[in-house]
Amino acid sequence: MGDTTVLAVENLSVEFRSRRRIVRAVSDVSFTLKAGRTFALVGESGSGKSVTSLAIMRLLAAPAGRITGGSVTLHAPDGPLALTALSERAMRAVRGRQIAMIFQEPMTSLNPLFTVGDQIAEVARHHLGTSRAEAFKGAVALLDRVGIPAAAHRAHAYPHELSGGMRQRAMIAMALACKPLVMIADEPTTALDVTVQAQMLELIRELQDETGMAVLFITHNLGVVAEIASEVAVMYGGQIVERGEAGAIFAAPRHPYTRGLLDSLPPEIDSNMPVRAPLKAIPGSVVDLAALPPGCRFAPRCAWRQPRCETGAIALDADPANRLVRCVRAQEVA
Amino acid sequence: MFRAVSNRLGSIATVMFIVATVVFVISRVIPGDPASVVLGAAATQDEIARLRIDWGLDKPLIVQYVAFLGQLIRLDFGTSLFLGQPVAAAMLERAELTISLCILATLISVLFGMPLGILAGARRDGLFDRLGSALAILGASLPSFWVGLILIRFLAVDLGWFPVSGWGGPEAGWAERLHHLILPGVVLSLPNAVLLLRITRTSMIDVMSQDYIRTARAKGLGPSVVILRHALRNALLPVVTVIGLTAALMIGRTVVTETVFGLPGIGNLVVQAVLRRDYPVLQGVLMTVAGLYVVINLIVDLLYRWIDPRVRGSLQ
Amino acid sequence: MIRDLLERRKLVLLAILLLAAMLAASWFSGADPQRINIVQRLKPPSFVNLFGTDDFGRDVFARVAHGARMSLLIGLLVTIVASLIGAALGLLAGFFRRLDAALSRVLDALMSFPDILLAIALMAAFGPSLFNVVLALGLAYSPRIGRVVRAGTLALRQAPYIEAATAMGASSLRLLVVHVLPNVMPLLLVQGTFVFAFALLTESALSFLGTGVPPEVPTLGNMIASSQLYFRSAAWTMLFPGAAIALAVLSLQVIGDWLRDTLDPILRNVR
Repeated sequence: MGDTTVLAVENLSVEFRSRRRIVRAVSDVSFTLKAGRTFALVGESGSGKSVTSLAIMRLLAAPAGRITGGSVTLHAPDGPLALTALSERAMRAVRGRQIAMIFQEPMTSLNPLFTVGDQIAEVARHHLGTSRAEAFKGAVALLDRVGIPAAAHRAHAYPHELSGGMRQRAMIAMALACKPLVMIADEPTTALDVTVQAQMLELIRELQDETGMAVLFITHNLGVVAEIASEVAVMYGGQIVERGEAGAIFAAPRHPYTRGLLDSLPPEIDSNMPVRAPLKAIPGSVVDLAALPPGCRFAPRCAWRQPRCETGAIALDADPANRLVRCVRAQEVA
Repeated sequence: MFRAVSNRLGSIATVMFIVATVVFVISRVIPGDPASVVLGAAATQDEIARLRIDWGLDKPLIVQYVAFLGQLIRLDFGTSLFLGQPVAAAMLERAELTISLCILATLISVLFGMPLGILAGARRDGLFDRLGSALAILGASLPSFWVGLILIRFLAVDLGWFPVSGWGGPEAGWAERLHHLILPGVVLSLPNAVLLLRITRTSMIDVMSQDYIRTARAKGLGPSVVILRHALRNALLPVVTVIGLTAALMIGRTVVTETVFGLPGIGNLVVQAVLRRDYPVLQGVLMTVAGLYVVINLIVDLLYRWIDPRVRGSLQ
Repeated sequence: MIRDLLERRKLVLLAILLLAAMLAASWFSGADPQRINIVQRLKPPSFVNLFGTDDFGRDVFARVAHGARMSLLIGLLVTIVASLIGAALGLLAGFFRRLDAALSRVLDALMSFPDILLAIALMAAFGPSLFNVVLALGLAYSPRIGRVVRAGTLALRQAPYIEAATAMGASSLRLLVVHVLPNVMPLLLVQGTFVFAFALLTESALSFLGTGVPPEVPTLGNMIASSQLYFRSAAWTMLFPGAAIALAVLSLQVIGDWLRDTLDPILRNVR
């Protein structure tokens, strides 16, 4: 099943418009998710990675945020679905059923007034029309599957009665309820303790092996990416600046920004990777998405900058090893 | 739960003690000797003096104050100077009308204020939001007695849809009574409906931006399920408090509504008491209304704890 | 966003102009509000009497103009009295921990009376006069100011510059007057505007009930009260004074809302 494409994102662009300004949050982003594989979208906050995931789910805050170009295609068992062209009603049948999503803050992402069992059961009841009792039984089984001890008892607990790790497990159980083709995980481990983080990654990997779902993993933490992803896209200023096999990128980053990110990692986390210069922060601040420069968006912060970087848009070019890099000096950076 | 209640009861006792003191001070500042007012200009000094002794007005203020507090603890509000009956009995006689009026007005305000607030808050800056906000600020600007007079003039007098005043008397059936009370109920509910609209709207806007609403949408739930099941319950927590407190404060505003519509309830009793300097009645009503406010406050607080599992958990 | 603000500003400007016009109208209304003309009794609105005439044949427009000025003046005085009492209570309660518990309970107790009921009871105690109405309403509304000022003062007490001033040995009185008071002024201004609006409504209700300013004082509430006998035939005697109250209150609320939103960044520091 390794190479079956389940979700294809092509040239996706997203804008947020207010009366005063237009924020170009995502520009021309393309990637594909394959069954049983994890694809990581990496970048700082404001790089457009979360907006990309919300755009796939069509959950952008209307009317300010909208998809201005590109397409998202879901390859469901009964034929491809162009998500960007679906009616809102048809899209609702996809959310939670074919594509499920888990979020960064398990505390605030669960409704405080319902038991976790009810919240998990709600998915199956809504999409599959399962009876209340059946769905609740299913929820208990799911809680058990994601490693919550005494699941039958915990299903009756309210979110505030669970620990952070258990809440995130409950969120994952909720995502699994309809055996989705794709799970989008938006910074699912960021709010958790380091030890719990590792358990969570392990759990996601296990579940993926079991169900064969594709995972889109969104994070700013390259250490996490190394643990879980087979493919990586690094985003900066709403664009993908580098995309390829995870191992290859970690071994030899081609884009100055990717390189900067790897250099800023504490050495102990990427101990299995070639050690570079100790902890270096990237100078400057993240590009303003409402006032993008005409040339390379990373140029103002880039140590490799040349005059030609600032004049025109830089293309995302493929190298012989099928790695995509958006840099005129990609060969030199490596 | 027990601890929370006993803490609450302690502060309630303090507040009620201050309330009682305020009421006592107010009633003893009233100018003019009630005894001479009651007996009229023809009374002799002797008669007035005797009545003053009967009512205990000859004793020092501090003695009167202690006696007053003692009476209150026994829930004894004394005897009306004019009605010739105990204050408690006078209030009880009129309570049915005032309470039904307040319940009706609360229902009306909840029925209009909450749905409008939900509509306004569910889509911020949408049509309903703009309309609702305009309605809210306008509604809070209208003098209620003026609205009452307008309704009487046009709906009751000109169109004859409603009775002009009164409540049909004690023999009237519930339908007739309701017919009489609709206009006063609407007038009484106006400020509350407007307040509820505002609070519900703010609360809705706050809840709709929460992460768990995004989760609900990510599950594929439709807007009606998201709003009615996931947002509403959370949004209504603060609204419950407001409904309770405004219901308590409503009793004060019946003073105006009952006068406009000629309803012989508690509010009317207050106005009569003020105009006739019947201070035991005034004391009784003030104490009762303030007490009700404090008690409803407590009930709402406990209700809140019961509805919200987060607080409920911390109490067990 | 900016367009919204601009539109809002226009609305606020309109509200201010309206209030100014109400204050000034009595000088331009021409007709004498007290001139009795029994022949012209209860005439409907016309070009001669824009708002019609009342039961004594007096010009309702002139009376509304005079009444509006009187009502606004009373409202303003109430706001000042309530602000003085409320700010004093709030500052003391917020600044001195020892006084806080007691003063807060007093504010709680006063808040547990519906404002109109408290005002009526105080009026019964004081007796009917213009001065007493101002005092009664001022007392009745002082807790609303007091609670807000107390909360603001509490928040300010922890502010670094207050702590610094304390460390440098500034006296409590100096701290309160020089450092705390100016910083709670925005709160006071916002809350005061709303109290002004409420006071207008409650004052008119008191007049209507016959427990407010003496009937011979030409306030809007008194006009409506005296129109009760014949408003079934001559609705204008009741409609115009009421509309004047509503417009004044509406204007004040628009201004209050705008002040609150405009001062929000400042208020947030204090809250």
